[in-house]
Amino acid sequence: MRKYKEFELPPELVPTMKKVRKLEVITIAYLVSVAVLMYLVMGSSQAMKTAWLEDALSILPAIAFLVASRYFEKPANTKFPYGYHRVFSIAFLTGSVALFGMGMYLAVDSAISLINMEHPTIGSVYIFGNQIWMGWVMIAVLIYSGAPAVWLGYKKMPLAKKLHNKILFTDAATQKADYMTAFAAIVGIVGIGFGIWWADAAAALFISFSIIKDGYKNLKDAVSDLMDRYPMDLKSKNPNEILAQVNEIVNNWDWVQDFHMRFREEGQVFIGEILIIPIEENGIIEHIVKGRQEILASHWKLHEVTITVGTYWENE
Amino acid sequence: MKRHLLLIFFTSLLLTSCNIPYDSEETFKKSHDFPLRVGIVNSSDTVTSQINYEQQLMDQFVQEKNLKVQYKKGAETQLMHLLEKDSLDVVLGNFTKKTIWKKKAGLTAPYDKKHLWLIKKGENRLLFEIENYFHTIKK
Repeated sequence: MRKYKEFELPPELVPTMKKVRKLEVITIAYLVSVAVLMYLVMGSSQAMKTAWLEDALSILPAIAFLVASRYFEKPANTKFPYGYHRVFSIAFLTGSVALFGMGMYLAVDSAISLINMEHPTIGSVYIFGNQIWMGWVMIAVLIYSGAPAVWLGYKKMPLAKKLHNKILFTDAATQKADYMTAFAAIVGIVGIGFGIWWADAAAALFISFSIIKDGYKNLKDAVSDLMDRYPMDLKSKNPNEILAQVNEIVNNWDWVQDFHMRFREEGQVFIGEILIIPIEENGIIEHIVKGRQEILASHWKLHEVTITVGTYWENE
Repeated sequence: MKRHLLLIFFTSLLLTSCNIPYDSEETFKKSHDFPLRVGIVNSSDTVTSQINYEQQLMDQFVQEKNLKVQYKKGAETQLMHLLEKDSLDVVLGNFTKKTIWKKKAGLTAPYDKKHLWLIKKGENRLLFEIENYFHTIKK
C-alpha cells in the first residue's frame, strides 16, 4: 500500500531552505549583538527601552523558524499521524502573542511616563579624551540596529515567498520595517538633545503602536491558520492561486458531475478533501487514484488530498 | 523624497550638534544670571568632610563656568522633594550610584570613582557641563 508522503520540500527548494537557515543564524547573532549594545547604552530613555525590547523580541521569529525547521520534515508516525507541519503554526502563534503583549505593555509604560512628565536624563562619556554626549552613542547604536536589519529583510523576503513560509515572511517584513523603529527612536533622542523632554516618550509611544499593529496582525493570522481558514496568498490576501489551479483541474475531469473541495494550511503545506459526485460509477477507483496523483503532482505544497465520492441523494 | 528628508534631518543635526544637549528648563544658561540652586544635605559628623568637599567642588565648578550659586541646607528628604518640585537644581549629599533617589533624580558621573551629585531630571546641558568639570578634576 502507498504510504502518505513523508518529505515535503521538492529538491530544488532544499538549497533555498539551507540559505534561509544560514540567514536566520546570521540574524540571531546580529540581533543578539544589537540587544546587548542597546542595553549597555540605554540609559533612562524610554524610546531606547522600547526599541531595545522590540529588537530583542524580533529574535523570536528567527529562533522559532530555526527550531520549527528542524521538526517540520520529520515523517508522520503512529503518534503524530498527520506529521509535524503545524510546528510552524505553533511557533508563529507564540511569537505573535509575545509581540502583541509586549506592545501593549510598552504603550502603557510610555503613556505613563508621558503623563508623569518624566524628563529623561542622559549623561556623557569620555572616549579617547573627548567628552561625548551619550545621546550620540545611542544614535550610533540605533543606526547599527536599523541598517543591517533592513538588508536582511530584503534578502529574506524573496526566499520567504519562494518557500511560502509564513514565519519567514513575517520575520522579513518586520525587519524591512525596522528602520522605522530606529528612526523614531533617533528622533526621540535628538528631541532630548534639544531639551524637548516629551519627544522621547512620544517616540516610544509611536514605536509601541507599531509593535501592537504587527503583533495584532500576526496574532490574527496565526489564529486563523489554526482555525483552518481557507489558505490565502501571503501578500495579496486573495484565495491561494495553487488551490484555484486544483479547482481548475477537477473541473476538467470528464467523469465529474459536481464537486466540492476544501483545503487547509498546515505549516507550509496544504491538506484537504474533495467530495465528488461522479457521472457514473464505472471505473471510479481508477479515476480517484489517478486524480489524486495528478493533484499531488501539480505543486509541492499540495501535500495530501483525500478524494471521496458522494451522491445527490445521500443527504435527502 | 524620503532620502532628501533624511539628508536634511541629519545635516541640520550636524550643524546644531555642537550645542546638543540642551537643558529642558535651560538651567545652565539661566545660571549665568540667576543663581544655580544647590541643596546641601544636613549631615552627621562622619560624612561632613565629604559633603564640605562637595561644596568646595561646586564653588569651583560655578567659578570655572562663570555661574552664580545659592545654597540651601536641609534634610535629605526635604531637599529631594524640592528637587522634584523644580525648586532646586542640584543636591549634594555624599550620594553614590546606588542611591535610593535613582528614579527621582538624574545622576551625574562620579567625581571620585564613587560619589556623585543628584540633579534635576532632564537638565542634560547642566549634566554635561558638570561631567566635563568632573573629568578635569579627575586628571
